[in-house]
Amino acid sequence: MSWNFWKNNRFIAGGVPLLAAALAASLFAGNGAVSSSQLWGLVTGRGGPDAIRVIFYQIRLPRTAACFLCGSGLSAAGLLLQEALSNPLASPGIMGINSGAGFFVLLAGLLFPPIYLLRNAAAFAGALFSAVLVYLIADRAGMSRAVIVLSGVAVSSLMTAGTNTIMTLRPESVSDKVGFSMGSLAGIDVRQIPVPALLIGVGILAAFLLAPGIELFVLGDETAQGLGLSVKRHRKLTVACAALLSAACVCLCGLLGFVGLIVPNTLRLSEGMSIRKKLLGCVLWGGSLVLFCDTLMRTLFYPYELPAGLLLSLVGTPFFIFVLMRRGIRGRRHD
Amino acid sequence: MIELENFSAGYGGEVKIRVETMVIRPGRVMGILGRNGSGKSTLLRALTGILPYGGTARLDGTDLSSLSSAERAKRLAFLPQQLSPVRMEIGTLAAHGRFARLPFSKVLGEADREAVRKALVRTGLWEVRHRKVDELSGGEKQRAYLAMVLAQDAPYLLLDEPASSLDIACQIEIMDLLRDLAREGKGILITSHDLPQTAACCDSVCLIDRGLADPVVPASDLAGNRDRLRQVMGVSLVPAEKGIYPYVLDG
Repeated sequence: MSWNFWKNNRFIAGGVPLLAAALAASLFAGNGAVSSSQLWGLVTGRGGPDAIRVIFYQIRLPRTAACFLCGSGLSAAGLLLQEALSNPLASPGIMGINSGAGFFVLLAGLLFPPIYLLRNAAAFAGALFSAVLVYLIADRAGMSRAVIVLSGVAVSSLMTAGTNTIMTLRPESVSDKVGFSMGSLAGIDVRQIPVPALLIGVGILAAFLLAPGIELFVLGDETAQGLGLSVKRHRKLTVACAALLSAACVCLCGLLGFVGLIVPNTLRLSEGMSIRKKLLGCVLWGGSLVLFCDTLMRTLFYPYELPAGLLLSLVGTPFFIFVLMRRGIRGRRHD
Repeated sequence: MIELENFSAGYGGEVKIRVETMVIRPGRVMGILGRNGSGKSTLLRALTGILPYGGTARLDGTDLSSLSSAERAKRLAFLPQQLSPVRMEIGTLAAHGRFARLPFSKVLGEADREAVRKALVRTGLWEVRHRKVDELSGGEKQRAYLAMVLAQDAPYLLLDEPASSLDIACQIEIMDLLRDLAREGKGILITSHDLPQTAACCDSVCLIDRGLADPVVPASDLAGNRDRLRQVMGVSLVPAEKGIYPYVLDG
């Protein structure tokens, strides 16, 4: 393998060991109740007390899986939104897609019996609703970068207001209020995982299929149409795919923000990566980011546990300002 | 051959261009002449499927509106006037020309790579295919996008002012390339507001007067119709004593 090969694929090559380390840390990090060697012994077949077994298989493993799924899904959703709108500041959090999904999940919880499939369907409906709302507002007001972000902020505030109303009037509708609004992976139940996992898998596969067309957006709508892409339909499908991914994630981790902003913009530092490679990068790096954040927040302050979303906001807000200053907010969607 | 009849197109119900009849033939370069805002670009956009149109448009006998975006792109390539200075290698840009021809996986095959290589050689960019498009001069950028359109391998090319923003040497280079392509059988439609150049480089010309297309005339007849030229373009042509074009502008 030539030097250039490694240089061009350094984010992928670096992402594999990173993800392996993140998975290991998430599964085997010790705390006051259980040590790393006890957990390791369990996996390597030396057995262990039943309590450890339960902790590992019922609590650790689902949580690790959920972290990885949310990290990958939200990063991929962010990448899709940024490419579809040619706007590096777009992400499921900022565009109000996460909060739309969250609001609809709580609303569905009030109106219907608690079925996981229904939760996911409601989340998708909410995510799509927000995306369409942002799109309609931005379409009316001119598709500039600033307008898209501002209409996202407006829709996000509206959805958050709805969520807060439900949480105030019916406090019992959310078990962990702070965790839900900040994004947390504490208390994940195994039964919660299969449907979102399937949806995230389908979403990322769909994104792989949409990727070559997404690649043409940057050339401008007219050029892309001339090359044989149905630009409007493809852009809608891309946003819908992002909504599906975000919705599935919200069902697992609540309103976890900034993942979809940080990861794709970091990958963008490596020029010339195709969208398919960037998607792979999102899976590796996004998964790692959430795994590390979650592991840190539950081990650092043991026996207390802070939501992973708190750390992500602390890191993510400066990152948002950095992207803003580097790329600027002016400029239309296409030159 | 592309045939238009009672063709009209515009934005949001407002008709910006009407064409009674027009035929674009393989092996020929047709020039669309008109002032800014006369509807030249609207015509090209409508033929590409970016805007809806009324009337009939047939491409080698097939109704244009019945083709999917990909099917249309295999037969008809379009290059808009505004080309983004994208941060992308020239080779990657040219490879995007194959989009409509790729299989479901959208991975380039051997034949696709060969078509891209040919297009890059043709436009003189093969040696510099790793350079980034946003670092190129205006003329090089135009050629890079032309390479993309050539890789598309469509029998018809619609080019919106392919030369207007370039210096004169680059303009002549591009027009020579288009002439060569026509000689090889491509049907080419270009828009322009450069009278002497269009008269010299095109086989036939269509004048567009504020959204209404005149009947197509041979390029050699263009200079003879002084009054109409003056009405539509504001200037006319007179034979040149010497120079690169056989006609010069007359105020």
